[in-house]
Amino acid sequence: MHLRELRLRDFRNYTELYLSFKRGINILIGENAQGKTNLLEAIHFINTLQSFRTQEEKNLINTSAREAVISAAVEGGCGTKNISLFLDDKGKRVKVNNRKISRASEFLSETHVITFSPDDLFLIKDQPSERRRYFDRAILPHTPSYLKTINRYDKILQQRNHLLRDIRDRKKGAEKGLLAAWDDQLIEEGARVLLKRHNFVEEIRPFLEGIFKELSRGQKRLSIFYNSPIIPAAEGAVDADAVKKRFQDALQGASEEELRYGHTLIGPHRDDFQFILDDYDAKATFSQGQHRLAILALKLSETALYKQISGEYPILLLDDVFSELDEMRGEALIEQIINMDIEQVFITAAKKEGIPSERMGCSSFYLIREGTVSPI
Amino acid sequence: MGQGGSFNRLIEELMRLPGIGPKTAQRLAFFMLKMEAQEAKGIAQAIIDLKDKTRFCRICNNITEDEICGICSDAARDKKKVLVIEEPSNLLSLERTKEYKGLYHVLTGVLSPLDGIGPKDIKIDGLMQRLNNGNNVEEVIIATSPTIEGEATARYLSQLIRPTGIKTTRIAYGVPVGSDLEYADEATLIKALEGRREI
Repeated sequence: MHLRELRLRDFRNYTELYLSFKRGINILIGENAQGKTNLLEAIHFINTLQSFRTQEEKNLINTSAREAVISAAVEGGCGTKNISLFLDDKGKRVKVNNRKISRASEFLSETHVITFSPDDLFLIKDQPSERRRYFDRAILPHTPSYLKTINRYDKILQQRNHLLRDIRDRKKGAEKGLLAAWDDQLIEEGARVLLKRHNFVEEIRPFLEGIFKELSRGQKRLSIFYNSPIIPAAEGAVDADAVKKRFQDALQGASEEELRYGHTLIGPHRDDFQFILDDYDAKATFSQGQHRLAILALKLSETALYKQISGEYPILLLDDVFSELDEMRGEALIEQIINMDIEQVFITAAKKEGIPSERMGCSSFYLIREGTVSPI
Repeated sequence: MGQGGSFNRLIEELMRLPGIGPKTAQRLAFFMLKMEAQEAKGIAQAIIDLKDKTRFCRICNNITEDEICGICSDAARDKKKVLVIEEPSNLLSLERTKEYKGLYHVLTGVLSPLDGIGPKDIKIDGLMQRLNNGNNVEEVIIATSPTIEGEATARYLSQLIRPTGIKTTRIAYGVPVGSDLEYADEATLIKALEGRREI
């Protein structure tokens, strides 16, 4: 899919903007604080209903206005989607082809973007909970109902943890016999989460290995594994009943310890996603540049996987990718994007120099200055 | 607001009701102001009677004006079946179908450790007494909601009932009648598949 038209009114530093875009690589050039990332944010927001920079959506409204409007025409396999979004201090209202969208999960399968932002660079070194959140979100476009699964699992987990604490603290009416009532559900929903994550990692691994090899010009090998005591990493395809059985056994084995800690010790909420660089945990061995390359490889892999599953490419947004890549790797990135034949990519950069532009024949360049955008 | 004290007090009182905000409360209060005194007193009396006369059935916890509710004392009902539900309002929905002829047991809640609700806080003991007291119950149908709390309650009950040897069943989950499969979420579809049957 690709973005054909974008209109902004009072979004961040854009008071009024209308742009039409072409397929291929679109480079947005501008100095700091001119509105490059704001433009990417608008494209991301209209396609996901979320900002990749802020939770406070009213920050997206221009400081001199009370409401912001974004509208976009996205071309895809199912024809044109006209999305319009209206944002004020009460929240946002969204329409797709004039049909009102009342729930975010309804919107999820409409369009898709994949965004690289410098904030993603922490992913590899961050807490496991951040990685779980990242990958859970990456799974969503493929299975919108996964959102319900994780929310349900989370609720069961909270109930069970509370019960474990009540039993540990000998609260009135709290007895071990009550645990079984929650265990079955924990296992059922938990197994669903485990399998979704395990299968996602199995699917994305070949892409990640191949793309990282290209980006690093074959110097290093990167891989990814889902770390769970319930599914050994070496296993490929796993069967749901086997996962449930092992979850059950592991839970039984941990029951005494759980009662001592007052906390559920087994399950997808304790698992992690592990990046392996040349057989070592990437967390310890990665340099700054390798981090950037690995995350870029992950984003391109998500892009390729989405294409494999849905039949069309998502829109790829790359914020400030060249700043820490040396010339060789910058060229490798552009080559990879061209070789994959990604339908549409937006890249921001501070200046035109340093962009391997001679390699990208039919790209479009835009200059961004104080909230205005002009083709160059 | 310049209106009298009793007028404002009524608005305050009405706002205690679920789903009633200040605007609706004000509208209702003005409406009542214009009502015939007889009519308005009728509403007040109905509320007083509700609190004075209704209570919970000693057997099934349904709302009733007698010690035992109309369903429990109805000789025509099938006493071999007990249908377990969360609230008296669920009973009204089930009765409206006119399909079920057995008895009920209202739990008045579901297990929820987060809200501090354990087995002693809902009417589980009463249910077990009914089942153990030689009432010749042959089937317990558990119809708590398919929420995680309703489900946990159902599973806990089935554990408790198992030693009595009484057949315990759970109402089916699945795709709502008259709706399109396309709009069912994955969890519902999986449950519906698991609960499939031969035709």
